[in-house]
Amino acid sequence: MEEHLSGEAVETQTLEDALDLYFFGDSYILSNDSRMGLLFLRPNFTMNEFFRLVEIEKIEERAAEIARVNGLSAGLTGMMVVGKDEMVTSEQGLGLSMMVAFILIILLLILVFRMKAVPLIVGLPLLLGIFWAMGLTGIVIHRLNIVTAMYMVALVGLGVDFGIHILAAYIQFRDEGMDFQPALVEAYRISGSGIITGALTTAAAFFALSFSKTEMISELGIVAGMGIICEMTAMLMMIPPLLSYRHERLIRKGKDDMNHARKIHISSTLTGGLGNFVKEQYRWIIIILLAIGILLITQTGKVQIEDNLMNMEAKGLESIELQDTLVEEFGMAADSLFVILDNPGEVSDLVDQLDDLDSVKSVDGISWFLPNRSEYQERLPLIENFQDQLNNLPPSEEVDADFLIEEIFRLEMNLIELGDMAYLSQLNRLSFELNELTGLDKDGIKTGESIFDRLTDTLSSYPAEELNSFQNLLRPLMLERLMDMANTEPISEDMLPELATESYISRDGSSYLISINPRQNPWIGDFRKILNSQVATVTDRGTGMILAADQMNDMARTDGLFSSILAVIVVFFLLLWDFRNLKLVLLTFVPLLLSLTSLFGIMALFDIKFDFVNIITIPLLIGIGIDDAVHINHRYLKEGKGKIDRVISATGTAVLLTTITTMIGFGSFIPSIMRAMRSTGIVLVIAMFLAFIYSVVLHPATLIIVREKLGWSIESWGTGSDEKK
Amino acid sequence: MKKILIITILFSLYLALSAQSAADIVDRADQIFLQNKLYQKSTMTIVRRGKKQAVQLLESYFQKEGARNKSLTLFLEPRRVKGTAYLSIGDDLWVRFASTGRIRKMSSSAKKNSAGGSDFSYSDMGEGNDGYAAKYMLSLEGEEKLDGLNCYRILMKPRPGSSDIYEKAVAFISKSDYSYRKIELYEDGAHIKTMTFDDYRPLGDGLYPYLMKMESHARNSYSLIETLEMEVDSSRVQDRFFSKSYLEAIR
Repeated sequence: MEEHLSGEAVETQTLEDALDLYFFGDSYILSNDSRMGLLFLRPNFTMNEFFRLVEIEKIEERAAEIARVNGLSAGLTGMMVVGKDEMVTSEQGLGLSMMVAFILIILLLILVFRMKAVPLIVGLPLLLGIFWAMGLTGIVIHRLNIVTAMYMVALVGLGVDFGIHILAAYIQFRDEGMDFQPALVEAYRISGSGIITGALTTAAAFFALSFSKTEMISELGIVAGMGIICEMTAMLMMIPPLLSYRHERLIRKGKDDMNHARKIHISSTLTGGLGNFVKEQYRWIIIILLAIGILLITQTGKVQIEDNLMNMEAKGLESIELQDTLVEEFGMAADSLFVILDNPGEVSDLVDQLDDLDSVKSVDGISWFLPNRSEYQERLPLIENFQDQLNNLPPSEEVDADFLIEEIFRLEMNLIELGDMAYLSQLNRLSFELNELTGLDKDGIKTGESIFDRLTDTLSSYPAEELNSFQNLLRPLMLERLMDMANTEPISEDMLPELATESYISRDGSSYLISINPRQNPWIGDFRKILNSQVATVTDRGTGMILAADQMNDMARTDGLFSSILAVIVVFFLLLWDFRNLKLVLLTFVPLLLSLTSLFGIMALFDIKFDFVNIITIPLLIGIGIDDAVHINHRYLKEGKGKIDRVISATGTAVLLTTITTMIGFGSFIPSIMRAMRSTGIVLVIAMFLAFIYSVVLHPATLIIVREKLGWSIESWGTGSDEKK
Repeated sequence: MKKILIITILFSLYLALSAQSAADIVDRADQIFLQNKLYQKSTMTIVRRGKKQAVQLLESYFQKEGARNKSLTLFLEPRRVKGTAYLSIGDDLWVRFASTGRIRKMSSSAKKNSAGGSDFSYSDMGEGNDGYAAKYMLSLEGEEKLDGLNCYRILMKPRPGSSDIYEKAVAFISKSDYSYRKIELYEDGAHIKTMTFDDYRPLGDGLYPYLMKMESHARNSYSLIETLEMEVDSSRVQDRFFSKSYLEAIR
């Protein structure tokens, strides 16, 4: 208007653009202070296309490049971006973790066994077992998920345990002066049953997970169970030929393997001392450890379950930080809930009902563009009336500048009042925009010239002829737009722009999408529960990651409990088959139960929450944790009464070593930047430590009491009186 | 048959007594809010997503006339809304804008909206003046300890035909002094707000909560109303305040 009135030639396109801006507004979504903008990207792949998620990096790079050229900065967020970040960070973490764990374990074994060939004797079957497990996984499941990938790292720590038990026993018998072959046979005889029972109980506990409803946990059960069996088989089959190879080489080199072995005193001072201590102080050990256990049991009820999926991701991820920025600046969350409907007639009602919910910021659906029949019928007379008025508009009249100035003043007053209401209602974005329009600052004080001041000035400064000339120029363009908008023809799907149909109608045209934008970040606090339960009162057809996260947590909880019970039952029968003595089996479960309850207690004390990744600790602990007590039982049954010190000294060393290697395997998750992996590492290390203390210290002390003091029989059924031993 | 009849009668009697008991408790707790000619000076602080917004200083006048509640609320701070006033008579609501000096009548549905951008709705703020006992069906759900205080736990459901915005509320009333301690408010199947009452001080024959907090769980925000001054049967409350003409005269 100013350009035209000042005598400049205004192009029709400029006028049309100005009118479009007036009618349809700005097409960008801007933040409260207009310093940030929001764009929605729709990739041509989905979250489920795991291996295409890396393509998001290309989008990130391109967005950053475009922003840089325009002097801006850009960042991406949303569940797919978080998913990609999760994949990249976990892959980075896992590769490094696996290498560190492998090197540490091999170094430890060389140091303890003082045998340079350990990397070959234990490392080769270890790798072979992992390859078998991965190969079988490929055949059976065809893929690794984040949990099974993590487990492959843990398998390094678990698989090496079988080798340690064999090597420790072999070296012990060589140390006692046996020749190569008898020492090997005796090592297999004395530790073989423990290894097989241990492997079977661990595998059984894992296989119990395969009955889980959660695909991820079920796959873990199968992969982990197969992994244990593969490792046990590889170790039992490969170690004798490898030891034999080493033995032959030493003989060829003229070295005496027996003398070499004699240098190694595997019955270390630590476990030897521990054995003596347990034998002498068994009463105090029971009292103190039981007291600690009971104390920790009292805390178990306080252990919490992490229900914020984002707390499981790496800290400082831009994609996660931007989610808070979205809520802060745009009042909306990055993740939406979705509803899919078959009947387009239901869309409008459902959109309205969902939009009324307190936890919902906005709802998008095709009804924004496509009114249903009743809405159309309701609006038709109004549109027809409007159309009539347009058709009967009198010819262009002269501009009444005074009348216009008065109307503009009224409009300005209305907008100032709206600004007051927006200010009072904390509608910051609206308040900011209205202040800009009316030239007020945040305190409501006039600080600059408003658009209305300029309009009033313009209208009062130019003669009527010039104003009339502008009106004549603008009138037909405006009328054309108004006539288009007053079209009474029913709107059908094929009239809609591609942007609308692509967003809200399925490709085959059979279903309609409603997108529900939450008011808050759904990953913080209890908001997700409020949103989900409110949406559930309107429709039971909601879907999306927000709902799936809770379902996953619920399933992990149910699955964790179910798998644990199943694992306990299977392990119980396996132990009964192995020991054939109910009392001994029940006693063997005591350290396991104490380990579990103490773990919960420690987690509660240190505010470590269970999540759907670290919940795998429970079945893992049942499977692995019971092994230590099983090995102690086997050795104690063979050594006999009064020799618990020797049992701990011999078996305890192997159990200590296996515990340390397992702790290294799981501990390698701790440096991971992914919080779920780190917490799994921490929880498993604590669990393994507890299992060691209760199995190698408390359990032998209990055996002394029940067998040697109370006279219970722990021998297998049908093998005669315990008194003879 | 006789036994069944006796059991049914006893059970019905028990239900009636327990309902009576819940009504008695809420009735006693309501008494402090059923005062007339109330003058109140208070601040309203809104904390949204951890960020404190400008504190509002308000002056309110309340008067009951038959079944109708009348109230006038005047904003003294912040500067942007100083002089803005709300007049409520029964279901009608008017607002006077200080910036333009004009008066607007609000839609009656505005009463369900947030009061002054806070987490309190106009309805929440006016609820106490009528008392909960009159508006809700009540049942005593049991007893519960709240911050070391033994409380009655009472379920409140809107009476049929009521236009209440909440589908239910759970009130915690102190057993020792029959004061409201907490009210949990439910809407569309979810616990969306929690109102807590604190800093009870003597007022008339009872105790009045000088600090009321409404926390919105769906919006990650809370609002505090801190009473600075309170008078019952106050001479400051005058009939002429409750008219449009007074609203027009405010400067």
